[in-house]
Amino acid sequence: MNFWTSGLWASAVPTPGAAVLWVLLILTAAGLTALAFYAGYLRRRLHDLQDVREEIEQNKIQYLIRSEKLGVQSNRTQTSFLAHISHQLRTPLNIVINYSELLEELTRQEGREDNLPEIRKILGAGRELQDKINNVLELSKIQAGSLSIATDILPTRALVQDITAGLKMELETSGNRLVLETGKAPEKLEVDSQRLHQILRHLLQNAFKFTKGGVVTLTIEKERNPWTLFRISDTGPGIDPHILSNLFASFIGDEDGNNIGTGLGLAISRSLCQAMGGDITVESKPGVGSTFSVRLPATYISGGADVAAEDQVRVLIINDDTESRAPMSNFLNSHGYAVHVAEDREEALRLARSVKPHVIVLDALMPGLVSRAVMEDLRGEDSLARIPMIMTSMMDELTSTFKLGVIGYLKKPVREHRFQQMLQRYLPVHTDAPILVAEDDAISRKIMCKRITRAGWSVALAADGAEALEKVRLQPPALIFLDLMMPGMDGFDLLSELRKEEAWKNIPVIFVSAARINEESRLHPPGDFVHVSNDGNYSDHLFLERLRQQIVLYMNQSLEDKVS
Amino acid sequence: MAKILLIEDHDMNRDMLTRRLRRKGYEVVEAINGRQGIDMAAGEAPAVILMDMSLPEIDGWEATRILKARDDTRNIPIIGLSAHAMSGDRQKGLAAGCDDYDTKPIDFPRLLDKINKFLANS
Repeated sequence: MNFWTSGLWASAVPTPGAAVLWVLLILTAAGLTALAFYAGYLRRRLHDLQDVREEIEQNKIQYLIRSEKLGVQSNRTQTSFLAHISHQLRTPLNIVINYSELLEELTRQEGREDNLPEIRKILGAGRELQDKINNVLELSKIQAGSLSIATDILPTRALVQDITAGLKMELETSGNRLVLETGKAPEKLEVDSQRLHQILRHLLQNAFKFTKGGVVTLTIEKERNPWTLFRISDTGPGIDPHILSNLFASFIGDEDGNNIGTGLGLAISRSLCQAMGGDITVESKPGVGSTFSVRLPATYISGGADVAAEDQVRVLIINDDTESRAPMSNFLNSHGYAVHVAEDREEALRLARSVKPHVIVLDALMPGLVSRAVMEDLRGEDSLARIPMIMTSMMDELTSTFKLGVIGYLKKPVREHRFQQMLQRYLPVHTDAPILVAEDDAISRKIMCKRITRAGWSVALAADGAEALEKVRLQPPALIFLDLMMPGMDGFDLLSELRKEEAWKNIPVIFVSAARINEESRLHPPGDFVHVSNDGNYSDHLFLERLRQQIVLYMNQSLEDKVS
Repeated sequence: MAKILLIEDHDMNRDMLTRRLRRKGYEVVEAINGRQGIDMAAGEAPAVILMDMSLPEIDGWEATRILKARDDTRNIPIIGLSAHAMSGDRQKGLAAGCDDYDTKPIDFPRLLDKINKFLANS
């Protein structure tokens, strides 16, 4: 039987149905191959995109670190520049003032009284110059954030009496009439009375100076709690519209230098107002007069009992430590706030969703970067992302680098007690990992080493950034104390290296610095946070007061947002 | 009348302060740098030392530290004087061992108050 007779050939020749099957098979195979290629292509694209994303993410990180480094450097330059200039001016001024005082004494003694007016002019000018230098220093202190506000409670009447009594002379010589409108004033004020006094005194002095034989009116009015309005209006010549828009600007940092003539008094007044959680505005019509309005959260509210539940401001405090939580919650409660408390990450998110707080108060030192995780949770949810956030901690400073695992800045010298308290708060559970100290100064390194050992931790030491990187490679530490100013690779450079490696991204860092950090680094874009620091003592009245003022400030802002 | 040691390198500052203090009846001895100041503090046994902080050779902070470490000069009150007026400067002066600190331009009546306070205590 051959091939042809066996009939086998017939099965090899496709019937019409089998042909279709074959074609389909070939097409499918081709399709699958094409799909596989396409999938591979997509996979590669996805990888590319992921790479791009990571690169962007990394760029963001590096940008954040670099801008903070620049901020710190520029602040250091500005502060030392001001200190230097002030010193340069004071030395000759000392000669002018003291020799003219001596000359005045001698002249009087020798009976040459007719020379006295000229000597007094020199002396007067010397003292005026001294005041101006002091103003520059004061303004730089305010701008560096080293101004402290001390709130006390006083009757409004007492404040008014104090101010008018102190200005009697100026009032009489200017020939003006002072009108007091205090009918709608709150009975008591809760405010830094010394600073408020300074602001109102300056504004009244100005009004007296520029108004001739007119009327100056001081109005004090209670507005929506806790705001009080202090208004000073005059019937003077008014202010040139060109100057008006820049009236409160200080000449420091002003490039065109046009404002040098206007002095620093108004710039200081505004900075003080803002430091107290308020602001100052001006309106003026040439030939009619000027009105300065100071708004401060200064109305004293006793117990807050008269606040209706729906009017209550809801505050969510997120803090795992009972001892630091209680004083804040009690204080805010007593001021009429509805306070809610979350102890951990889950509770924080749950309460934030259900309570919908007006303001969140988050402690920055919850152990193990938990605070950062909480922040990411809250910022990652659309309905919560825009809630104003106040960070509290015993760090001196907290900036945007918090998002990169920088717990904060400690300013040298750090006190032993505070240091230990901070370590215990942040690292309550001991591990085998060491704490790394990167610091170029041998003495500071030694002190830190002793303190860390005393706290029961092992220490790794590095004298510069490169050595620190070696130590990290050897054994990732539980925490790094990082000196900002080191030769070669400094603190910022090291941070930028650390945050490039996935494995090192979550090593917490504390910056140690001899300088204060720049204003710019503490500016807070929407969706960011502000920091209210304390000395480790959460019961400290000044700390609690600053916390409350910050909440008030936020509430006022959101009110303005609604109106506009 | 009480003897005051004035340590100041700036000629006019020294002359001015010496004259004003002498007019008030104090006996004033002068040193023009930190090293001379330390020697005179030991030799002259003044009741109060007025110490400029920016001095040549040994500066005011170092001189204060040395004087406060020596048995024969430890108890002489030192008033630090400086044109540095940043908030940290005062702390720095007090940390070095100054008993009080004042900034230039000198407010003469205030300086007299400080001197007399130390004289009353001794």
